[in-house]
Amino acid sequence: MKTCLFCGKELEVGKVHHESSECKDKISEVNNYLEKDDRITVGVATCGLAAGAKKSLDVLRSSKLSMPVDEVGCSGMCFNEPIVSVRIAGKTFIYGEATEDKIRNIIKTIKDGTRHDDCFIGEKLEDIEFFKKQKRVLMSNCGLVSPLVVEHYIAREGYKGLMHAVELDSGEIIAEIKKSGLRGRGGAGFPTHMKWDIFSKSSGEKYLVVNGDEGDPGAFMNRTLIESDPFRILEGFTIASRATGAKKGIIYTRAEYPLAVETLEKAISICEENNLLGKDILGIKGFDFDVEVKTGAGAFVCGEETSLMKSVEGKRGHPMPRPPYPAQKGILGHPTNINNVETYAHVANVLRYGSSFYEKIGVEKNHGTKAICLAGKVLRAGVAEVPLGITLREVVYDIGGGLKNGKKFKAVQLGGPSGGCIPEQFLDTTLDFDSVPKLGAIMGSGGVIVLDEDDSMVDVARFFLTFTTSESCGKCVPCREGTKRMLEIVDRVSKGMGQHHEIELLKRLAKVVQDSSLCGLGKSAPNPVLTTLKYFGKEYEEALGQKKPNTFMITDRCIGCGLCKRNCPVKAISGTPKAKHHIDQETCVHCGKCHKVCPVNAIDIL
Amino acid sequence: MDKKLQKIFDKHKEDRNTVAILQDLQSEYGYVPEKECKELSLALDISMVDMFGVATFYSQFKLEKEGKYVISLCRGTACHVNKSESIMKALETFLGVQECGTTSDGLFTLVPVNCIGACARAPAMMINGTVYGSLTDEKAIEIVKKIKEGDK
Repeated sequence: MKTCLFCGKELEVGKVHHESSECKDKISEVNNYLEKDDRITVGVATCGLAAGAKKSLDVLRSSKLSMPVDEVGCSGMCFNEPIVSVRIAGKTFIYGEATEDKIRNIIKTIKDGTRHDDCFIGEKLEDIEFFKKQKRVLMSNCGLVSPLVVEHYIAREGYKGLMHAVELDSGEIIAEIKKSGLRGRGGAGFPTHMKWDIFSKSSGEKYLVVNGDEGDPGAFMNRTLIESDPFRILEGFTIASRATGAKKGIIYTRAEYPLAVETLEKAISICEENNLLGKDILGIKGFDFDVEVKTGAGAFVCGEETSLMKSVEGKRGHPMPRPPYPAQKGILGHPTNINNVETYAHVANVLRYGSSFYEKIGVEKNHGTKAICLAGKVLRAGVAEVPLGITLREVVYDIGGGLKNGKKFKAVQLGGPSGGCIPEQFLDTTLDFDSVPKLGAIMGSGGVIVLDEDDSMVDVARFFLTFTTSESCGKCVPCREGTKRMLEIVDRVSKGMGQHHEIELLKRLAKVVQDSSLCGLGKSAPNPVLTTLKYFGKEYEEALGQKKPNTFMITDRCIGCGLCKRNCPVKAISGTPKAKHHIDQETCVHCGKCHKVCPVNAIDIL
Repeated sequence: MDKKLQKIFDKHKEDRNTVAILQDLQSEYGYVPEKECKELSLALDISMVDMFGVATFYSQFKLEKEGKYVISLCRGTACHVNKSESIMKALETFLGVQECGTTSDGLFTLVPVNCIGACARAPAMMINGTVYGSLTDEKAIEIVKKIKEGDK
């Protein structure tokens, strides 16, 4: 930034604003605007728009109110969208489900300066049940600031992390990350500092990548973060560049998120204008970092880092065996480091608040917070930020408010197609990178889908297998063929046509796919099947129980030897020698003995 | 080579990034046209096998022209447990097309997508970038009907 956004004077090297009283006053003015002054905000992230927030916004803007009406991101309360927050004379009224028809009544009360009780949900976020068990450090700006106004971000301590980072050298930044205990938020929970350490030691041209290919059905925290607070991600990304010496950055995100892509592109150009990205960042000679957005073309496997790199190169997203690791040989043969969207946002926080602040949140070996997405049959679906180590019960009942329509809880599905279903008896398990895998699921990107008594677990397993089969890239046989055969079995079972011995086969197949697939997609594809078999084996049994017994029919191939007739335990077979025999279906007990003994294989099973 | 194609050629003659080329082709023409693809393949020295290998690998690329409105019905987990399958059937019947099909008037294409990230408002669909949430069979049909009427 050449000149200060707040006072317009030239900036010192390594700063985004001055420490002068003039600047401080301006910053507190912005903060007052955000938190104290009269204003109206409407959440217009994707979920808000899906609920009709645009119409509410238009009505508010056209009704000539005496206060500004701002577009903000999503606070996470997707279940209550559209959310309109009105602040008059220091009092805030948060309204939920403020759709076009209801907004007119709200406008009347705005003019009187009173509260409209109909859709009122609270005065402060902290007072609303959904937020009580949350710990918001990552999403503290979501739903409050205008996502594309960098002044808002800076006024709320934005870029303090970067200012701190430029005072440190590479090793010191990585040491700070190490001390904070930050683990990658993409799913596996690999310690971030280890990745960075190896990567920072490589030389020459190298790439830093943000993995925003949030392909897990049921996960949308990255989308929410990008749409609501893009600068935090960019700040963390820039800190990573400072720590590792990479000068090229790629943000890989999904084409299915048009609003997120647009927000990112705009945020990047704002950063470039203000010297927060590009050449000589913050006036520091040689601190260059160019960032571009690449959209994926719709392949789940591209969330896997080696396939992501292939996709960035423009090729089919086939994963590669490791080693060589991306940190040694990545995009176009250059060293590459890939972290999740949320990980970078956490990096900005670690550097801003210090590692000791971070260390205090969470439990042993799992520090900090995690954004999770609650969806499915839960009452309050949305994005919540929780300290690692919270129990699943707290997530489902305290944050999520229990189940919709008074139904009975059955399971939570964690981690999407790579995760598993966890039954009620394990609801007191803590949500962290070490406890969840013990149950056969994974944390994944943090999607929590709640299932109720109406959901068939065999169907859930079939659903995820259908997904992995169609998304398997086809490179390795265990995944390509294995998942397909598994799907065939589960499909048969769910239709009541399965055989008992097939369950054993399914388990064996699952083990093979798990052990021998090349990448994470295949290795984890059996998880939904294995966990449902383990915890809901009864449902598979029931599905098998519904199975119609086999019907045996003697065909024209019969030579009339009479072997079947002699072996039938219930004398259901009749016929004269050398002529075609006949089975009386009424008497038949479906034992299959006739089929086994027939020397010419003349008995068909229907 | 026509102007549109020339622009894509100029943009990618250095990087020869197949995914980006196909994305540009699709945004220019609305789909990946075979003839133009061949021309580019010769000019950029990327084999047609690679071009179509990539085009068929990613679900975003369409090899046929799509309708004016693309209905992307979400088939993610949250949508699935909230009965998105029944919405797909309802829309299929209403539009008279199968999954991935385009109506005869060229107005609508109905495609299932993995997840559009609107899980909290499941079941959801996206029509040309606009997301509609908390659908029922009737609501989905109503939305499509409105678009159809608005287009006349």
